[in-house]
Formats: sequence, structure tokens, C-alpha cells
Amino acid sequence: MSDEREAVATEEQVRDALKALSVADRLRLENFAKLRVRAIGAKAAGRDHQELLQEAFVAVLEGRRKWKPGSVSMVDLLAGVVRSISSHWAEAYDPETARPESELSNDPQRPSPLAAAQSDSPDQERELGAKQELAALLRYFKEDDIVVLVIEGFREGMTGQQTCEALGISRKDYEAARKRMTRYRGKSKAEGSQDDA
Amino acid sequence: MPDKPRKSDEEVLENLMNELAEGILEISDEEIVAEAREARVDPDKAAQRVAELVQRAIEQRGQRKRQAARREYEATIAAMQKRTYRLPDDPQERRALLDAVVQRYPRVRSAVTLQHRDLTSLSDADVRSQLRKLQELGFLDADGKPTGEGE
Repeated sequence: MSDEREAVATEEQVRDALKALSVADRLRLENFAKLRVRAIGAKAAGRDHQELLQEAFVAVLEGRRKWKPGSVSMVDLLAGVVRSISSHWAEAYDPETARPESELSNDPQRPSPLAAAQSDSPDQERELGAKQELAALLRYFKEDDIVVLVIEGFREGMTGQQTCEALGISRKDYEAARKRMTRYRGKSKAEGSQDDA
Repeated sequence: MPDKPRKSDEEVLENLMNELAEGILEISDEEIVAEAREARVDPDKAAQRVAELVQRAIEQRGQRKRQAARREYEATIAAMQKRTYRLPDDPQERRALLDAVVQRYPRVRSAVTLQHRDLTSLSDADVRSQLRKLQELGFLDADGKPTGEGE
């Protein structure tokens, strides 16, 4: 039994599993990669979620990340690889060689920070963009106590789980709040652009 | 709240996006499709984009494999060209040596004759090249003497 769990897939099995991903799993991976790229912002150095996903697919095909079908699903494996690559991009980011974020981002939800204020460094520009995006989110959710508390928890350096524990928010309520925020982002994007390519 | 420095807006947003990303992994298939529709994203079109990325990754993998095989082949050839093997000086002796090896190893005969139909049709340059390959493969030692007992 444990041998089956530990068996590493061949390249052919990996290829077949990638091709067989369901519509929902492909959507899930695309959204996951978009959010990871959005999280690191300019630290992605102009790379987008498609590059992130493709790099993850190649890493799995090349066997740099082994797949044990008996112990992890292909989607979970890919999510782990996407997490690791995006973190690596963020760590390798060099602000000295960075272009201003306004040249890189085409996210309609993200207002051009330069249009709003004079700013001459990528750091200031990123911070200003984040301030505006957070302000918009908090305005939208001003009467949603859980969302406001979760954001405040992040402000204090806590994770989602720590915030729930510290403030007595149930896991179910936290997940529901997370879904509301995801929907809000989707809705804002849809209003900003018809084509979510 | 613990007495820690408050995070910047950028850090808060980064944590928030990462938390939302983790949430995406936990919702059901039906919800993810419904959310896409709500965000006016065509699920099939989006899935097709990802399928294209998979295809591109497969092609990239194939290309890298071919490049690696090519590099390995070139390195082997370069190593062969650097190595010095002794072969008989006389063309007749070289041909006789090749003949001796193929007699000893019938499989070598079939490989060589497959390429050249008939050993007698080989030019001296071909004979040298075949003998070098046989040395590389260990059928001849560095001094040009047949190795092993044969088949």
C-alpha cells in the first residue's frame, strides 16, 4: 500500500494527467496563478500568470517536481509548484532594475498610481496602488464585520487562521468572507473589462 | 492584538491575495465555474487557454529534450575527436582489422554492412571511421587490438 503511495509518475503519466485536467481544475489553477501574481505585484517583474503556469507545467513534466499520484492530486501538486515559483520570483526581485508598475499592470481593478499622485520610485508607486485597492475593498465591505476584521488581522501581521483564532471567527465564517472577497474581485474585474484574458 | 509593527498596505494586500488564492483551492467545482460566470468569464474559453499552456509546456519540454540530446551527442563526438587511438598505418592492415572484428562479432558485421552494404565497398576513410567507432564502443583497445572473446 505504501509503495503505491510513494510511486513516482512517469513523464507520460504526468503528460496525460495535465491534458486530462477538468474545466474546473483549469479554472482553479488559472485563478490561483492570477492571485499569486497579483500578490507579488511588481516583484513578478512583468511576468504574468500564464508564464507562471507554464513554468509550473514544465517543472512537473521535467520531473523537477515529482508527482506521486497515490498521495497527491495533480492540482495540489501544481498549486504547490505555482506557490514555490511565485515566491522565488518575489525573492529574486531586484528593485534597482524594476520598471514602474504602471508600465506592467493591465489590471483594470488597479488604478494607475501615477495618475493619482506624483511618485518617482517603484516602491512608493506600489504602496500607493495597494493603498487605493485596499481602500476600495474596505469601502465596499464597510458593513461586513468579518471582512474588516480579517483585513485588520493582516494589518497586525496575522494569517487568516490566526485572525480567526484571535477574534473567535469560525472557519466557516472565514471561508464565507473569503468567498465574498473573491466574488468582489471577480465582479470588479468584470466591470473593468469584459475580457478576462 | 499582539504588539507587532503594523503591516504596510502592500503587505496586507499581498497576504490578502495569497489567502484568496488558497481559498480558490478549497471551493467546489460547481462554485468555481459559477464564480467564473458571475465574473463574466467564459469557463470553456478560460479552460482552453490553460489547455494551450499545457500544450506549449509539452512542446517546450520536447524541445529541451532534443537540445539536451544534441548537446550530449556533440560532446560525445568532441570527446571522440580528442581521443587518440592507434590504428595500423597500412590501409590493407586496417581493412583486415575491421574484417577480423566483424568476423568475431557478427552483430557488428550486420551494423556495418547495414550502413555500407558490403565491406569491400568501404573507402579507407570509412574503414578508419568504423574502426574509431569500434574503439569507442570497446570492440578494440586503444592500441587497435580486438578485445573480448567474440560472439
